[in-house]
Amino acid sequence: MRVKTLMRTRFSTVSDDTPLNEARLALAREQTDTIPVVRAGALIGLLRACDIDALGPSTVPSLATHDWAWSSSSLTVRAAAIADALTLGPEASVHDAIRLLVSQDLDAVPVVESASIVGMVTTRDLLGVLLDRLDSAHRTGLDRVLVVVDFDEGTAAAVAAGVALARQHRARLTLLHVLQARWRSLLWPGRPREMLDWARREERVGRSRDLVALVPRESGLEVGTLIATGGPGAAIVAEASRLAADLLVVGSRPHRPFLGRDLTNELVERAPCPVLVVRPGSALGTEESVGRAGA
Amino acid sequence: MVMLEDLLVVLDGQVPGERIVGWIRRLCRTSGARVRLLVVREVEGTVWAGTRPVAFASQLEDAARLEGLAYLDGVAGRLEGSGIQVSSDVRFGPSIATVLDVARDSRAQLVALAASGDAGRRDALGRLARQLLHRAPIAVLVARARDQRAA
Repeated sequence: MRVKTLMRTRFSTVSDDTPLNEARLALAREQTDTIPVVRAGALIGLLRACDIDALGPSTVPSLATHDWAWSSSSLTVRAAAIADALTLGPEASVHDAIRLLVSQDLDAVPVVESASIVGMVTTRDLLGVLLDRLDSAHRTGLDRVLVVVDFDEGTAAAVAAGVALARQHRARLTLLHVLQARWRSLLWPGRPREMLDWARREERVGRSRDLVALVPRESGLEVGTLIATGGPGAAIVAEASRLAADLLVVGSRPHRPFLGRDLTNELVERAPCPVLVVRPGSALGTEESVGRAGA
Repeated sequence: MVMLEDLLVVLDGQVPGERIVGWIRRLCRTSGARVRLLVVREVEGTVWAGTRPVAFASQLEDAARLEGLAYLDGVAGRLEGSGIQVSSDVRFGPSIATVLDVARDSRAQLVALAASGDAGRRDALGRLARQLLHRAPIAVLVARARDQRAA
């Protein structure tokens, strides 16, 4: 990779007669530690925040009181800038840029072409390249899409988006429904345990059948269904972790704060992967080939 | 089949917020999607020294816009390397309304961001992510800026 493909082409500069106070503000405004110094458009040096600090009052409080007030000094950038700064050409490699930054202990290096500064390469840009390399070590695309199905008004949209993305990425699609067994126990107090177990089994079988019906066989997808029990948030997060899901898809639901913690927010806060929230009727939430979701 | 064609990615200019970029690259791998990168800044106010304006709002916004575009340039390069068509935008205004306006104008099918809050805090999502989840008329993709595996 060449420097020209990752350098920043928009950057600020200061001239060598800029007051140091103003230069310090420019560094803060640009959120950078290094800024190029130019005269008549030509690069003549680099100004680093640490070089400005070195000219300031002592960092020892008892000595600092004897220093001249830094802000009242008439110092200009010329006093602090590094002259004869090393530069790179646009065709230099990323390896060259890293070697230069490390050997010169710099946070940024100017890119110069025909005596004009055309860009800056910073450590942050190089970290971005490193991040990309680390990311590309993983498989690209999505491997497994997990769709949360609660058979409410958002289910059709979530399934439609999950199917569309699974097709696009040739990913495995898993439909997950969570049975909230505790609520049924509360609704049927005093019933024999066998009856509760029977009701749970029946519900599990019925919901499994409903899940299978959501995606037609001819979809050509590798589809799995899963029934979990427990608190919805914890169960969904646990299954997403166990399956190493790349994406969790849920249908958006009306915000009902009076019913306790919002499930969507809980999933976004705790899921091991990103969460895609699909609104019914949105472009991503409509899919003609998907079966009836509101069973 | 519905394909992802136009995505809006909201960034906050911070490195943790760029967590979403890797996921967008994975999501768009096969779709040939167009991605618009967006940074939203607060509206700048004119800076006064007594009765004398030191810096006009328009000047401050111009500077902030250049800074935002420079930042987005670097992010765009990382996506373009994966064959994704990228454009950049810096807007000023209230964040949620601005994001929704840009999403509508660009006909985005999906808006994506990394939630900026810290896990364990009361507002673990961050205000923008929370508001988008409940107000966006389109799909919302949220990764966490921290405490979640990278793409």
